[in-house]
Amino acid sequence: MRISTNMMLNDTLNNVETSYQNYVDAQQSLATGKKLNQPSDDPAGTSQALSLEESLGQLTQYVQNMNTANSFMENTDTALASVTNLIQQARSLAVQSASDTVSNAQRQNLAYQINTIIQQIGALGNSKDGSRYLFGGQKATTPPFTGSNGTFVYQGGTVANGNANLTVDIAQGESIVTNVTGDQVFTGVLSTLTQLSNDMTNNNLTAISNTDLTNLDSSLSSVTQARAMLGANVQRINSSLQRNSAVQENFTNLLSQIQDVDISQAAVRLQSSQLAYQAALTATSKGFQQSLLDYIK
Amino acid sequence: MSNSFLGINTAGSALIANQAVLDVISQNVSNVNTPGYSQQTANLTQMPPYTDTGVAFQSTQIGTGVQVSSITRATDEFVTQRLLSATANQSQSNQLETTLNEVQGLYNEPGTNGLSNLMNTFFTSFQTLATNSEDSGIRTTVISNAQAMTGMFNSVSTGLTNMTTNLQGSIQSTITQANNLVGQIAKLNQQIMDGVVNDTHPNDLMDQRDQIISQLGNLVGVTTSQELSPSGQPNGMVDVYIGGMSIVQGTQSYKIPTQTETINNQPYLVNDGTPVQISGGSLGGMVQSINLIAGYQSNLDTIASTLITQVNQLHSSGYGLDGETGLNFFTGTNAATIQVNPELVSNPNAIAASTAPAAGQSVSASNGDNASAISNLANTSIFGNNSILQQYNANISKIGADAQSFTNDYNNQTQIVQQLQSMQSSVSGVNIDEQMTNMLQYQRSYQAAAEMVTNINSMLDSLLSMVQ
Repeated sequence: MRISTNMMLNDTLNNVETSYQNYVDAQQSLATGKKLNQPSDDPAGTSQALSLEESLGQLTQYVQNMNTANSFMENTDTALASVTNLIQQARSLAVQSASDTVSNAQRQNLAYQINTIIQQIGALGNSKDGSRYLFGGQKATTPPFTGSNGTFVYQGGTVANGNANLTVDIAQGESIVTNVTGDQVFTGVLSTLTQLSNDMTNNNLTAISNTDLTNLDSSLSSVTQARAMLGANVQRINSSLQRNSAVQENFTNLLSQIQDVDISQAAVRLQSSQLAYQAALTATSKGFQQSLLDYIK
Repeated sequence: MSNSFLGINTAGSALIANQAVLDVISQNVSNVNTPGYSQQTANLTQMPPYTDTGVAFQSTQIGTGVQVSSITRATDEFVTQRLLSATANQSQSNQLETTLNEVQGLYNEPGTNGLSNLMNTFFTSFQTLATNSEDSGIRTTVISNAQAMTGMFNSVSTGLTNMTTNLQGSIQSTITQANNLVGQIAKLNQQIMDGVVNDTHPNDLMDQRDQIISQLGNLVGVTTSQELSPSGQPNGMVDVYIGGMSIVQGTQSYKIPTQTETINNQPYLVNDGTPVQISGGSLGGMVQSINLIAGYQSNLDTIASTLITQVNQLHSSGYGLDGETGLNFFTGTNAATIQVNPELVSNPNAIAASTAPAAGQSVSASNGDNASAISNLANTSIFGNNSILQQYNANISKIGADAQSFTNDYNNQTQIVQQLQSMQSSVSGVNIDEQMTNMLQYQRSYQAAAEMVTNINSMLDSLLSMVQ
């Protein structure tokens, strides 16, 4: 093939440009650490990467939901533990007061203690987690128990009114109920204790030992049941958190495979492209040194 | 008997001819870097011989010297034609690559400002709302996340619309530019034909015309054919066509139609209602770009309108903290018009995070079930098996695939063009070493002829001194 002067120039220019472009690309990928900078870098990978990012965003959101739920349930459990203690105290007071060795005056004193316990339990019924009342169902912004003269009336959400459950999504398509409503636990306890207090005041020993103690036991077991339900849900959340973090790790790795540069590969590519660029430059500078013009005198 | 001055005349013709050859070499060397220049060759022939009867020659012919019979340019018509079509393809894919890069820039994926992340953040903020539905701070966050998302929808949509407007403007200016070139080709045809008729070998005009045709081919793919005179010989003129439509016929040029359309993703000009396919050129790329952008725009509108319908449907059935119900979350119908309902912006408590209360009940502040339902739209299959997010991701993937294929096209076409340019340059390009070699050759010939003149001159001197 006949080679014209410009042909050699153009070919050399093209070669230098190509090898320079490769060199710059290699440098950029090493500098940014990313091989996926725009969809055209890897169209299928882009869609995968976007899906993974979305899933990771959602997983993080679920972790946030679960942390909120855990805190709410732990606070609920703490309140219910205090209620258990108070019921046990009330029970021993009831047992004490059921004995005929106790004078009527002493029994009045015990009734007074029961009234104090009623106030304490009532106050626990209005405990909060942050701004939310723990036992008000979906009516979590107003105190669930109101009343005067030592009585407590439940105002919160109920199953019957369809506003009992506080539900939290903990994974895609999976949700749990995080709360216990006041009417499920407190209303029974409070009415039993009020009855006990009345029976004590009236020295009705038969009622105390026959009905009140039985009722106290069943109140205690309903609180225990509620706590067991909470415990089970906390466990479910903890295992879901573990699963979530395993999936997050997996997705993060996948994402990194799609969008991050393999540093050692990129370093090798930079070296070889630099070498190619230098070679092209050398060839260019040598190639144009010689011409017939050098020899015509 | 031959003229005493025959020899000096013969040597004189050599001086003139060699001088002319050196002039052509000089022209070649001068134009070594001129784009479109084809190297020229001075063709030498003998002068008509002289017949004489005389003492020295017994009725025989004697040569009278040398002359330049023609100056021709070196071209390969076949390579030129192929280069014309390859260049048109190259500039078409270059235009498409540019368009797609701009589109990718608008979508800004993958990145935190892309719609994928903004839509996902929008949906997950409804999750936060679901667990804190009474929290007015979180309600405000939901609104601002929604506004970030609608803002990006608006901005991508506006960007795509602006691109189309700009491309339409470029199409018209490209056609104007092309019409100008078409006129020049017709004028050059006239001048070249005049030259051919008068046998003056208008090489430089032909180079100029080739150069203009190549510029035209960059703008819009054209084919050319040599015109023949009635005797079957090329008359020097070139006819130019776009698709099957003639735009230069000898000395006559025709205006390129300004209306364009796309049929089956292929670009066309509409000539008096008849579609004429555009085979490449930046014009072809622009027409095709507008069609592609319209497709992306429509896909984006589908995402936006689905989002509007689905979210509104759930939202309007839910209840706000203030008991408000029946409100849409979004106003607008597509990517350009989607907005967060201004009523919600001014009163975030009206965001319907709660489901309907039971009969006779008022709305419960901490019922976030509707917010949770809206949030779960992120993973609901709406487009076949695809959720809104997946469908959007598939759209982005398609844009990426288009961009990748046009970039590959452009790189391939560039290689083809470079190869053909090399072939053309191999035939038409100037080689300095070659020209220098020729220069030495003809310089020597010129010196030899000059020496002849000197010698004959001294012979004539001797002759004249005899007379004295």
